[in-house]
Amino acid sequence: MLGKMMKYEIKATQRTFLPIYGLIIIFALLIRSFTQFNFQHMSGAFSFLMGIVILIYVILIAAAFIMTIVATAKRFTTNLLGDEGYLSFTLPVKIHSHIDCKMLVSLMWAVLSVIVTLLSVFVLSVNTDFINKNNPLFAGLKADYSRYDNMAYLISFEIIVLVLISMLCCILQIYASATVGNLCGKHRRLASFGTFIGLGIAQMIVYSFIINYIKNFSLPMDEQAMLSAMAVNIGIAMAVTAAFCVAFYFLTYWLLSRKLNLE
Amino acid sequence: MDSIVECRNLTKCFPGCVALNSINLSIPKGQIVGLLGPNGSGKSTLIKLMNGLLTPTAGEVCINGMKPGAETKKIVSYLPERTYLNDWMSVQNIIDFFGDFYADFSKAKAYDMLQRLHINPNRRIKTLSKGTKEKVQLILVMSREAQLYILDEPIGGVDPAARDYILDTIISNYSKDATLLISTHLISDIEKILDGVIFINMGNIVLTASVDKIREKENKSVDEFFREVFRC
Repeated sequence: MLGKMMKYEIKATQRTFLPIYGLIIIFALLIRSFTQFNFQHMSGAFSFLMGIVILIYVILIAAAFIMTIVATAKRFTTNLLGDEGYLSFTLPVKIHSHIDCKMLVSLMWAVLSVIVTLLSVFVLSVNTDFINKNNPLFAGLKADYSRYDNMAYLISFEIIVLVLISMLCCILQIYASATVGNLCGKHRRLASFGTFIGLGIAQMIVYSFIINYIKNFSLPMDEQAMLSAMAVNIGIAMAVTAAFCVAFYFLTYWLLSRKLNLE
Repeated sequence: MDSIVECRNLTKCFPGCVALNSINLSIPKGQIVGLLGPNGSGKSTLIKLMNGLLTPTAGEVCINGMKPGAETKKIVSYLPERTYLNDWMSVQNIIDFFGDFYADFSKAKAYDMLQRLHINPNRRIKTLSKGTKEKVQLILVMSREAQLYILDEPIGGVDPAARDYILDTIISNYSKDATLLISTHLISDIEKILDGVIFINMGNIVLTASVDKIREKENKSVDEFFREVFRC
């Protein structure tokens, strides 16, 4: 059932994201083709056009990320807590499946937004010199990875996982806030927004306690030991963020299964 | 007689009002039952509780012996009083959607009813009128082989000319051992198809009786009797 639900969730949201992704790549290609011209011979109008194209490109990237957050909130509120909820909640599926489906598809769009942005930067900047094996950037990275061996790979892996968990945490914070807001009669949007801020503050307080705790330990001077300490700290951040994800998920689940009140 | 719906001390309170006041109710299998009451009497609240769209303040409601959940939703076909269709879909998309999620959904039956009501399956739902959307919803609901059909105001939004056709659609498309619960104000239009009625007012069940008994005992039609009971 989850697979079927995700199929329809992707169909419902792709109309928002795919055009933005397409435009980001098209504008990156446009900027790249403009930069092939010799700048000294550019007319004022051409420079102006180039400026506009770059501005639109930046706005599109910002739009992709803003839309990820807006679509996450909108799909959850309209499809589950609005009129469409009358269909969603009468489908023969468990409440977990509703949350899992929306969460995974939102995470997919968040990751795709990052990938498309990186891809567009790649389109903008890559040339034969960059791909060249002797590029000092690759050489430096290769040297660092061989120097720190497993620790460098571990930290890279941890950072990627932390970014994913943080995205998930933000998505689940939106779901928990919308569900709490839905309990509050007339001022649902305001209550949802207030809950989102409140949950954000709660997270900040917990993080600041942990940072204070970590600060008590003296920083090792040895490079290898410093990297180990960094890996442990990122691990702690991962665990705390994952704990928030679990808390937000079960708050949403509990409210949808025990306190659901569709108008 | 086996019951398909069983309410025990079912209570639902909203801020400042009691929508259902500790009601006890049993709806037998295989009947067409009218849930009748004035505006704000608690009809839709009761129906939403049966579908798990609201949670009871106290008491419980059971569908075929189970509390509302994924298992009861497999056997209940529900038509809400509002439009729940996704705007981005076409009629064909929503038929595929129902086919994907409900094992008892018949696409052939749905397309047949669409054709008879002259609704083009390729049209986007966004472009349909309110009445046509209601007809599409009714087609979706009646194309299932459910054990319990719950129809909340199924003919409220359609023109009088289409009402008879819709009632015929309802009658000819539900399986005979299934139960049909219809909530409406338009009693005279539906009373010819009802086996029993439930009168509800201000969150209380006022009366449960068979239509024949009302006619025999009161010597009135259900519509006339309703007007007498709920006279303002």
